[in-house]
Amino acid sequence: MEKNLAIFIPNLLTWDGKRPIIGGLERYMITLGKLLTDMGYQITFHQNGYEDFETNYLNWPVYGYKADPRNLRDVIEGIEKNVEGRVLYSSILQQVYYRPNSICISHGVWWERPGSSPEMAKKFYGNFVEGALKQAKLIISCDYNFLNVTRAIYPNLADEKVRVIPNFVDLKEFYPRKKEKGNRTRIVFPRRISAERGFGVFIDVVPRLLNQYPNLEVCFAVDKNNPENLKLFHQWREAEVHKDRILYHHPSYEDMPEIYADGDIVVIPSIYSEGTSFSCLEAMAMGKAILATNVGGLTNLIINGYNGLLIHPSKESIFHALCYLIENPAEGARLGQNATSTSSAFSKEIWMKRWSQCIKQIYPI
Amino acid sequence: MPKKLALLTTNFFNPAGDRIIMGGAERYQVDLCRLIKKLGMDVEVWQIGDGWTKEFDGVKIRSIPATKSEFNTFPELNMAFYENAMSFDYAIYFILALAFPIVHEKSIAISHGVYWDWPGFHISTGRQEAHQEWIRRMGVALTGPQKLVSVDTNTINFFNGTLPGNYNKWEYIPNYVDTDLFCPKERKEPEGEKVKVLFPRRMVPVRGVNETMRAAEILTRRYPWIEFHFCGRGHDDKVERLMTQWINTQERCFYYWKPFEMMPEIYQQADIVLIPSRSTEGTSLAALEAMACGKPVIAGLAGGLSDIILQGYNGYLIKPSVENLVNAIEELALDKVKSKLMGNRGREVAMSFSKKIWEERWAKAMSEVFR
Repeated sequence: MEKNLAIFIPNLLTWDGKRPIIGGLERYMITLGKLLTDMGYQITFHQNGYEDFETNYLNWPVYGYKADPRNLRDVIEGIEKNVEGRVLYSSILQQVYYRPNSICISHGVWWERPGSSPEMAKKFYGNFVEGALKQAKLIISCDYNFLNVTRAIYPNLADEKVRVIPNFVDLKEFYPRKKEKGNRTRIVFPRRISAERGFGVFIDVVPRLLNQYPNLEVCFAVDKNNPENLKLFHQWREAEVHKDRILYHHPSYEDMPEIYADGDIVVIPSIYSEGTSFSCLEAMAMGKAILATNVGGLTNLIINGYNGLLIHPSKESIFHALCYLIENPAEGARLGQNATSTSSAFSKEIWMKRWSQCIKQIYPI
Repeated sequence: MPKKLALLTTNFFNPAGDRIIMGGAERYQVDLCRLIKKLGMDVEVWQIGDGWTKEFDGVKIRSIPATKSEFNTFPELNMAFYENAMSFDYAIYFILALAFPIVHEKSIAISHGVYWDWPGFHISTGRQEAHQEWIRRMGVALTGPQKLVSVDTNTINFFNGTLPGNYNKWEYIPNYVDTDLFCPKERKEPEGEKVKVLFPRRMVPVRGVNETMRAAEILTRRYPWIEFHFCGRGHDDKVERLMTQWINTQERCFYYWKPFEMMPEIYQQADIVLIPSRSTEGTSLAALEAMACGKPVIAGLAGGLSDIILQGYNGYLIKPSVENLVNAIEELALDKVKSKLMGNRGREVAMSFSKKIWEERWAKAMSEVFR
């Protein structure tokens, strides 16, 4: 049997093909790419680009296809025409057409934006989810929430097609260690600067918190994917009275253990479109006091009051929960210990074992 | 004068008023009424029936002769309740669908979990247009109450993903367990070779009883030291009779049911507890009780079970096929160290679902609406 496997992905690299994109989906696909390579597959990535391009990333060929951001459907049709053989679809919302005997990955329910309408919601699940359920052989979901939501809409299909493999954490890199820097209480926000990740909600409570707790600092470990967003972040920070206690980093993946290590509290305030967040899993493994919202797959990681706090994603709830964690460090330590303990159920080894079973089943070589 | 609260449900007693099966929902209702009284309010329950009035646990239960259901809602009952309970200050709609089409000014509706995630429900709603009408009515039911309480996060995420617009109304108050009553206890008989597997559910298909029976047949034949205990009622006498007939043909399989007071001991005497629901599940009381007694739980991956069980940590989340059940039970039955560890973790996790926490959350939710 052939060993070639093409992977469709929206953006593994920036659209000029120059820099890697920082994000959960990209991390996921790099790890999966390594697993596939180890299993003997010849993989190629196919993604959107400003122009057609061909490059290499981590020794994998990456092909860019000229895309119009306002009409991404055209580019996926172009990719479809250009690529022969077997395909693995890295994102359920990239396409509505699937080749038979293929795997598609769901990174969680993404369309439950506050302020959406039943009609808009239906457009998303009616096109993308239904398309994948009907055509793909297997949908690997990173959380139980996606399975449960889709089963409540498509009982038969979801039961038959969706398999859950929760995201993972590399326990060799992420483990509890002593805090080295500073004697202030530090909150870490290890998320991309984007609306769905709760960036806006969070920066709204930060000034109040810094005002109330002189010994508190907040560290933003954020991406540089979108220059506009980054500019807005800096504008906001510059205008803050306590900006000296608002730290920021643009860490590479390798820097992350250290970023967590110097924090006490980690906040994952997503308001929609969330799976089993890598950031959440890593903070768990590092034994931090975690504040997460009851959105998407976070509910499959955090049990409120056991290994973190799980709250409604509103400013008020986030503010009060953070006050509680700041004022009760012993409670934070207990939650952190349980978080480390639970993270063992999400080891990278377990994830690889489950994935390789699915790969062998769908793409035999 | 204490404020008066009316709670609307469908069937606490059966419509004739002569039979009651204390399942999870019924216990939830009793505990909620006790809490309401503790908070200084008067409470009455209203349900379907031909006009009888009864008392249960010190709470008056009135019945309304409105049996008609259409598109899985109860507009007749809802309207009659609205008019008849006009003198009450507050209302609780114990089932979400009961909040269609009209609700009291100060009201809360409760969802006990998604119950439409199985093919049978879609048959019951009939044609596509009927299904659309049901969804439309659920949309109306979400709009009326000031607060929507859900026992699991799955329901909230489902509605945010299909009928958005009530984002800030939803409140997650998971189910609870009395962790003093349900606690780990040394086994009566010395721990020998024997492994007791417990299925503490109603004997109905969605709870995975048929898959469990097949798994029991396979495993009791394979291992002479394994036992299966089916503990729970059927929906009618016929089911219970069939269960008894099947049990009589099996080795080391037992069928019985016990009153609630006996349940802690039932869990304490078990080694592995099964909650293999195919669908229609919230944050199962039975699962929480098993966890509180320090038992590992093998659960179906339905509804709110993924809110309380972490796969491979305090139990398993599986698609409850016969094969998957056999494998999961076998794994735990053969590895007592793992089984114990998962059970201990279950107890730890259950402490976060204590009844006290549940009461505090409900008291807060009620104080925000009932004022």
